Amino acid sequence: MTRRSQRLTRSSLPFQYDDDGLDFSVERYRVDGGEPREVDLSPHERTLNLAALSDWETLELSVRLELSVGTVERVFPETERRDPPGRLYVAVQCHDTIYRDRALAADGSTPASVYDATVRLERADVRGEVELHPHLVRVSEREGDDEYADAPNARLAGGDPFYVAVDDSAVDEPGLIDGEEAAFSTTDHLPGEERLYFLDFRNERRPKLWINADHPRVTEVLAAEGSVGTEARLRDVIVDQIQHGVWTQLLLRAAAAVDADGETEHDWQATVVESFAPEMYDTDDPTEAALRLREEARDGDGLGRLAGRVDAEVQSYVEPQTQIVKLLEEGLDV
Amino acid sequence: MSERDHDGREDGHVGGDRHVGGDGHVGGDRHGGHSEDGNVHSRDGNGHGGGTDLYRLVPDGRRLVGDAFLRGETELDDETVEPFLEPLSHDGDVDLATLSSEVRRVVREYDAYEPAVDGELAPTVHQTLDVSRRVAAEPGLWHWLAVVRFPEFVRHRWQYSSEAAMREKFLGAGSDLYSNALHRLWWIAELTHDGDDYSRTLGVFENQTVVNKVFDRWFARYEPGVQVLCEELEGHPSSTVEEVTNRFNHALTNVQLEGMDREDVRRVVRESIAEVEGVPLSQFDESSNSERS
Repeated sequence: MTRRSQRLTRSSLPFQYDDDGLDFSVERYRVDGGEPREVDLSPHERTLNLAALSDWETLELSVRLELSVGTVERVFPETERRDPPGRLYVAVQCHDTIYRDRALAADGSTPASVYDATVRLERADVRGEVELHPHLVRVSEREGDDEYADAPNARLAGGDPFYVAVDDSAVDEPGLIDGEEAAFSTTDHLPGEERLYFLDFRNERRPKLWINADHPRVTEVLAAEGSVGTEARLRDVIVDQIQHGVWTQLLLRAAAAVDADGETEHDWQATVVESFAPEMYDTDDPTEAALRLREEARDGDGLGRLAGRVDAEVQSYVEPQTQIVKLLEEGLDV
Repeated sequence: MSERDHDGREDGHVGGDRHVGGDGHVGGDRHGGHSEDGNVHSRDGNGHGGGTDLYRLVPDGRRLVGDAFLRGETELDDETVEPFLEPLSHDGDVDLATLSSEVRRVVREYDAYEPAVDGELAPTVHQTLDVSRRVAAEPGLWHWLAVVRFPEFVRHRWQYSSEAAMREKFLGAGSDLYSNALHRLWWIAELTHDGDDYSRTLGVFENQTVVNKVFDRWFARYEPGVQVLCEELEGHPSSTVEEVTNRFNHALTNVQLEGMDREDVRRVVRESIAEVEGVPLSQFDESSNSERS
C-alpha cells in the first residue's frame, strides 16, 4: 500500500477551490550544476526515480506549472481576474528528514499562463522520497461576502503531486498490496456499504485493500496525523483491527497456494509464507515451514489447528493490545 | 504495507515492522548486523569529518529490547549487541566523548523524571551530533544511542508507565518527533536553533506543553512556522499554548503552510493569542517596538 493510494479526499473548503486546477510536471533535472537532462516519463507516471544517482550534492529540478483561464475564473472574483493576487509555488516535502520548503513560481500576480520554477534539493536534506505539491494561494486580504477566498494564503488551487525517489528505499518498498478508498455503496464491484474494508483478490497477483468511504468518521480518523492524543491512538487501533483481518486473509490464501515443493506462484504469497510460517511451526527452515503450512491447510482435521495458529501469529505480530493500551492511557485518559 | 513506525501511520497504512518490500522481502531488515568489513569499530572517542564513530541498531536488534531491559532490570552486554550493529557513515562532526560526559552529568545532577533535563541536554545532543538531516533520518542511529549508548539516560528521564510507552522512548524515531528520548532532543534543537544560538530551543523546553502541542503536529516540520510559533508562545500559560496550537492547526485546513512567510505565521498566531487571552492585538505591536528599541 503506498502513501499515494491512502491519501484521503480533502473535505470541501468554505470558498472556491480547484483541487485539480494546476497542471504540474517536472521537465528536466540537473545534478551538481551539470548538463540538464530531460525527464522522460509516460503521461501518467508521477515518480522520477533518481535513486541510481550517487554522490551528488545538489539536485535542481525544472518544473512547469500551468494555470488555466478556467482556474483563474473559478477561484478569483471577476474584479481580480485581470491581475489575480496569487502566489504560485511548489511545496517540497521529505517525510524522512522532516523537511518542508517551497519553490516559488510567481508571487503577487498570477494571470493564466505557464510558469517555470526550480526546485533545489541538497542531498544532506533529503532521503527516500521527496514530494512536490503544486499550490496556488491568495496573497492579499479582500472584502467581500461571496464564495471567493478573502484571506492571505487561502488555498485556491492544487494539482497532482510529483515524487522524486532519491534512495532505493523509496523505490523498493511499494508495499505488499495496493490500497484505495472508495464508497462501497456506489461501487459495483465492492461489497455492501456496511463493510469497513474489503480485500480484493480479483487480481490474484496483486491483492488490493479497499477502505469504505461510506464511513467518513472512520476514514477521517484513519487520515489523522500525529502520534499522540485520542485521534491518533484511535487511528492506530482501527488500523490494527483492519490489519488483523487483512493478514489473516493473506496468510490463509497464501497457505492454500503453497505447492508440493513449498513454492508459491506470486511474490506476495511467498513473502507472507516466509514471514509467518517459520514462527508458526517453530522452525528456521522456510521450506519445511511452507510445507507444514500446506499440509495443515489441506487437512480437514487440521483446519481448526491452522486457524488457531494463524490467529495466534497474527496477534503476536499486530500486538493489538499495544495500541489499545495507548488509547486508554493517552487517548481516553483512563 | 510499510513500516508501522514510519510517518506516524498518518495515511492509514496497514502494516508494521514486518513490512513487505518490493523485493518480496517481509520483516524489515532480517539479515544480521555485521558491518561490511565484519568489524564493529570503537564506539568511543571523537570523530571529525566522518568515519565509523556512529552506528545503527539494525531492525532485528529491536528484539533485544524486552520488558526487563525497559524497566532497567537487565542490561545488554557488548557481545549480545554487536551482531546487531552496523557502522553508519556520515560526513558530520561527532563528539561522543563530550556527549557521554554531559549525559552522565545531567543524570547525576537532575532528579529522575525531571523534564528540565531536556533543555539542559538538547543543545549538547545537537552540537555533538553535528550530522545532516539525511543521517539523522536513520532510525537505527537513535535506537543505538538509546539502547546501547545511553539507556541510563532514557530511564532517568522517562518513568516506566507501560511497556509500549517505554519502548517508544527507546525504539521510536523516524518522523515521529515525540518518541525516542534522544531523537526528540536533537530534532527539536534542529528545528529551533539559530546557528549557535539555542535560546529558542531552551524556551521551548521550558514549557512541556509547547513541546507536546507543537512538535507532535505536522506543521512543526515547517521551520519558519515552528520557529515563529515557539517565539510567540514563549511565556504564555499552557492553556493558551493548547488553544492557540489547536486553532493554528485548524486554520491550516484553509491556508497552505508552505505558502506562509514568517510574518504570515506570526500574524495568525498573534491574532489567536489575542483572542484566547482577551488582549488587544496592538499589544503585540508595542512589544515588538520595545524589543526593537
